[in-house]
Amino acid sequence: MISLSQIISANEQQVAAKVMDGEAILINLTTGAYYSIPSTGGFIWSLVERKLSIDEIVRAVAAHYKVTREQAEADVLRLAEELHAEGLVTMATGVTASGVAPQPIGAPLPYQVPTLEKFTDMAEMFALDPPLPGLANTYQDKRGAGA
Amino acid sequence: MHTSISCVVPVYNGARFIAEALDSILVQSLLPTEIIVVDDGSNDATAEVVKRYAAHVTYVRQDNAGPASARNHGIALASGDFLAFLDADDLWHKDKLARQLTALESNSGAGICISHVQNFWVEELAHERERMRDQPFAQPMPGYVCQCLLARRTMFDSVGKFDETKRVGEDVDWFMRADRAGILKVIVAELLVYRRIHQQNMSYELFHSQKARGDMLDLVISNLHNRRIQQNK
Repeated sequence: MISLSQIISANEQQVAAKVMDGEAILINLTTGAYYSIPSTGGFIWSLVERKLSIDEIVRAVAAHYKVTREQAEADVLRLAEELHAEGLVTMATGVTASGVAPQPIGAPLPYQVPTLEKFTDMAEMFALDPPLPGLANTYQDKRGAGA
Repeated sequence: MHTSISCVVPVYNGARFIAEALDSILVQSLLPTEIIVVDDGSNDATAEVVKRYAAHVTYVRQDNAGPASARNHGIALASGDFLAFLDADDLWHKDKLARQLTALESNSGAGICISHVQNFWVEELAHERERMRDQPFAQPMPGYVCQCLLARRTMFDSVGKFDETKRVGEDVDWFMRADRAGILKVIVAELLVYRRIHQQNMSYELFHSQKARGDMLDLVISNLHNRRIQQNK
């Protein structure tokens, strides 16, 4: 169960991500599945990349979009659960957030309930090239270099 | 009618394994018409090892430019009606070419054929082999990689060559482009290729690089874009 005080961050070891025109595109490098998080969700992902607490993300969403704090909280928690279930984020407790949420510029934007859409049509193609991150770790470990 | 197959072997510092790779070509039940080794600027003993195969192999050398470039170089030199590729650290089953050629000849509408592939680990990575034993990565699977491909030569005119700007996923990129070009493929669900996992696999080094991740993201974004165009039609 994810709580407001937890720090959420991208699972960088396992995930490649890019935000383009407000839409976040993610690849789980281990499974070869990829994901689209459009609109408000893309903004939330960009906050996840800043290593903030769930509460800070909720506040930033409520400040940037036309949405109540209650709905923002419910939606951010649900999206965080989904991201976590897919191995795309890591959750930490008892640490202080290292990032800072951006300040809103101008009037609040129209809100869209964040969604996580998953695609697996390229998983077979990615199964071999490149190999699993676990193997890369071994390689890195052997060289004594950090990831 | 005589069918000609060219086999292109790109290699970069592959002295340790390339003899095994070439041996696995030379014992094919259906031999290729020619074997072209493209040395991508190796600075190890690759050239000396390949010299032992001079009777069977055409050896060319280029400045280091990556596997996509080396394969394209080989394609440009190849004269066969069909093209196959083997990386210098991997192995073919002895019936690889025969099975795939039969598959393509009995499916005249298909332009490319892929087989199944299984990873195997060098002895130094025995612990990895153990760790991965039950993972999908250790099981036979369809191989969207060049080692598993047999293609009609004309496919490289309609699909184009390998994208030399990509350091990772240049094979996946090519297969995606082939799909988009409407090229039909046959999948031979037999294990015909063995892919060696060792510390020097280039993908290992590149895995953490932003460039490699960016290349994968570009592939996914382009695929997603294409899906949306199809959906809106």
